[in-house]
Amino acid sequence: MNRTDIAVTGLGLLTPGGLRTDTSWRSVCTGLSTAATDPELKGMPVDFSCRVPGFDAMATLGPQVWRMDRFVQFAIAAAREAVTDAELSPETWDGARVGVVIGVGTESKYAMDDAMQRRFDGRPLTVSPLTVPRMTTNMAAGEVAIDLGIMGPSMAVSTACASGATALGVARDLLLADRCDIVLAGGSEASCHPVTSLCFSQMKALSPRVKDPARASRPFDKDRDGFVLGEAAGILVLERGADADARHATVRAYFQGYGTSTDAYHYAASHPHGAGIERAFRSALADAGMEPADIEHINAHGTSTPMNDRIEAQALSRLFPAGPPPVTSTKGVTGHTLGAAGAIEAAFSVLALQDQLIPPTANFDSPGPGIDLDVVTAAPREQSLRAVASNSFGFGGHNSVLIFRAAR
Amino acid sequence: MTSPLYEPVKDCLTRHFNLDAGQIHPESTLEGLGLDSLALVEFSCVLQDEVGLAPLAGTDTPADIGTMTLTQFVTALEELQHRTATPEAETPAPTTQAPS
Repeated sequence: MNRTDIAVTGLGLLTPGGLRTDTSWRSVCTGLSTAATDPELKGMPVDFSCRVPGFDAMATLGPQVWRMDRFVQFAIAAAREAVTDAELSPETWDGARVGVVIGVGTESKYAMDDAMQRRFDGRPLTVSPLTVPRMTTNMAAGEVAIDLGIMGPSMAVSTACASGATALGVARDLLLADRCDIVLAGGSEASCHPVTSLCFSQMKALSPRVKDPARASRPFDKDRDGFVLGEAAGILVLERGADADARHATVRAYFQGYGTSTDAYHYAASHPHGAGIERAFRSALADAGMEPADIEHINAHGTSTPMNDRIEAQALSRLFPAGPPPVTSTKGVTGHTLGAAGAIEAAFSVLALQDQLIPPTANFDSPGPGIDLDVVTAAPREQSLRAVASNSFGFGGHNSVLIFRAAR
Repeated sequence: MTSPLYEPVKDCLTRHFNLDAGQIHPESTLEGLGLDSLALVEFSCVLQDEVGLAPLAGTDTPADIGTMTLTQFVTALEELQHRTATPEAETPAPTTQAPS
């Protein structure tokens, strides 16, 4: 088969585990949750989260940050790291052949909350004129484009908690269609806002474990009781393998396949039999030219909600009749970073291939009913890995599956 | 600059727009400091929060204040402050244009 390889040549991460890719990866490999009581969530029914620690936007990005919302700042920081990691230079690239696709799951609450407060306080004429350019989901891609001189296609992708993964799939298609030579793709979300926390806790989607936050995110465990809100950004630099080889770039891994599907079943719940998950996974395998047996590790969606984890586990058991390969959910450490999740987990999948190491799932003690998986827990597992899949699913019935192949 | 409003204005520019205090002088213009039209509206909103005066609440446009020096701008703010304090006084139509 005549395939066009899509290479991952750069990573940029800003997660609850750290402000860079290396620190984020080390944190995930500890298997220790980053969840902690969050002063900004004081008074909310669920008052803990997984925050990006010590992010100083002004020091990192410069004075123009005043006009940007937090999720935009995250995206720029991650994009700059990814471009540097790829040894690319915006000074010399042809910006018209560079694209940027960034997934964002929910619109920013910070700017809109400020505007709403002013409206209800009787101060409508003090509402910031930058409310719209701060809050709209496209501004992560728009501001990254301004920052790096990207003049090809740029867009936001929004498929709820699958947004980051879907953005990578869209970026892959842009490269395969030869619309770009380089695409920066991923996701960004600054979700630890009181209103966001309140909205998800009213859905009973968040773990209510306020007395023990560090034990709250426990994907696939029998005592799981909801997800933990997290914030993050992850950007991957993608280019065609031949182009990467021509400029002697270091290829971290190949983005071998992408599959996507929609449940068309329920606005929030996954299809009870995981039919959409299965379709997306089989579609990704077909795109990758692989069989289930080729997949040697899965970075699961694994949110730590009772329903998601059971449905995902059962779908994986059907996809792998002989038993799924080792599974981890890095959300045990990072919490659920919504629109960024698919992107940071794609980066963790790439790093697993590079280091031949599967990070552990935090707080997994024993499997819940219906979960027949080899969940990696307690410590990272060294294992020969040639192909890894990463699952992401979102409210609205969106399913995205990414498959990465080792560079060597 | 002796106007009591100069330092609060300078403080808004440094704290909200992250400008370096060393680059702000009485002869600086707001446009020259990098504030575009939307930033000028934001500046007006911030001043309303911080000193209770909104230079763009009347008929003036960002272009009207963007080219003023800070000296002219603060003088215009003082006039606005005076009109706000004495609404019954006979005053001309609201403007922030500095006297030439």
